[in-house]
Amino acid sequence: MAASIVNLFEISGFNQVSFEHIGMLIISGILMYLAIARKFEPLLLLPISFGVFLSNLPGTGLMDGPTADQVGGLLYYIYEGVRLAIYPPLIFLGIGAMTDFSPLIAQPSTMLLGAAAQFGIFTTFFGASLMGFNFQEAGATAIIGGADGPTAIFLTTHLAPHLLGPIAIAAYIYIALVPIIQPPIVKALTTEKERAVKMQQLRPVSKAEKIFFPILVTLIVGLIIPQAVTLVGMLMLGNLLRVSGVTKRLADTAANAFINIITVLLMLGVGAKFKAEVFFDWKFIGIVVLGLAAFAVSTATGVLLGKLMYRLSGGKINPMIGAAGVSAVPLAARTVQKLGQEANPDNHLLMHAMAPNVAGVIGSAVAAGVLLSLLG
Amino acid sequence: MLLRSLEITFIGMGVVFLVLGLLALLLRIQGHFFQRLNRKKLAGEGSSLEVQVPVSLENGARDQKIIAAITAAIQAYLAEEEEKKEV
Repeated sequence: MAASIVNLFEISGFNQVSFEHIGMLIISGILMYLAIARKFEPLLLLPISFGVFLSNLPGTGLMDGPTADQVGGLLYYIYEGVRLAIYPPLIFLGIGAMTDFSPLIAQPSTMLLGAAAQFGIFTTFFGASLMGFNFQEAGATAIIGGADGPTAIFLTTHLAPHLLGPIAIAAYIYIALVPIIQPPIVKALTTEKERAVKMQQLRPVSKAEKIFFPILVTLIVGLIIPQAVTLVGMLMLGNLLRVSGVTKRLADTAANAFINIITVLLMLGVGAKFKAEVFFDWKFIGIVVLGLAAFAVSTATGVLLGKLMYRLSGGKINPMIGAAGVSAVPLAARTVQKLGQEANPDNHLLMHAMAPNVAGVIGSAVAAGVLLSLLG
Repeated sequence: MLLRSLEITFIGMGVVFLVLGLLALLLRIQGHFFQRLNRKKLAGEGSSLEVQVPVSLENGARDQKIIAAITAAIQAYLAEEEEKKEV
């Protein structure tokens, strides 16, 4: 009996626990606190934090791969969907089914704002390379500037899978912090008069235009950057299901139940990969700092191009909508709307800001495809 | 390494602008095409201009009648009030 008790103790977590495990369990607790009490992207951060919690419990074998006579742990199989980069494109399918691209179709010039807001990705890539990150790690870190979680995860699994946990967490925390990070940058770069600019109402977009849009985008992106078509193609398929009007059931499922299921699996898988050796590495600090820099530069360059368009249009375009070029949908557009109303209570910029916002989703996916083509 | 990272930075940003700029241009052309097509379609369905002008005139005539009726009612009311005062 004593031998059985000793055996039980030996295989228990108490016997295998280390300071690293304890450290990661505390970190998972902090992340759970941020998700539940501070409501920082709870839909994403809560399953991530629980994934960190589960995979760092000693002796569970949840992340162990299969052996000749034993199947692997549950998290191992869930993580396979992340490792093989299956979940992020499926998330994009759901996002496409949820997204209305009409503001962008009605105002195509705002597509350029979505491009300008990717500048932070490439400047940060350059900065990260100088800081000693190798090219693959620099590319994966820089994509945080696109403010798109699935894109960041997709690119990181291809370029630097060992950095997946920190990059995913940094990306989602910065996305949650959009309403705090962006306003000071926007205010520093624009005048009160510019922020108060009211924009003309957008023209109505016909159903035929909405149907042509996903096909056109997939065709052009697929021909120029084939590596980006995994994300963009899924995004546009989801959108086609929505706008075609003949697949309502599929569009509803993709935009609701499907995306929620994949989100749980993706976030759990990302959290499961978050190990002590990654978190306590100097690169994690570098990722946090560089991610913030990428985000700030992307916001600033979006606003600067917005200012140029304001001048060229004779004051018809509110330069603040450039800040929504980062693809944090719809947080960035809502932030612009709020800032617009602070400057002029009658100013309703939400739909105008949604145009560069959805362009940013396409832009960040294209940027990821470019980095994958050049570095993969 | 410095040169290579600079090269990737410039190429990357250039390609992003190229793709999104091209899309913006094609969307602009698509927009013009569909707007023109819609106008032609409306004109073909009995000429939107021919239909819309008489309808708007008709509305205008109807509006005039309504305004005239309201004016008459107000004048009648005011006249009635005047009569009451005189009594």
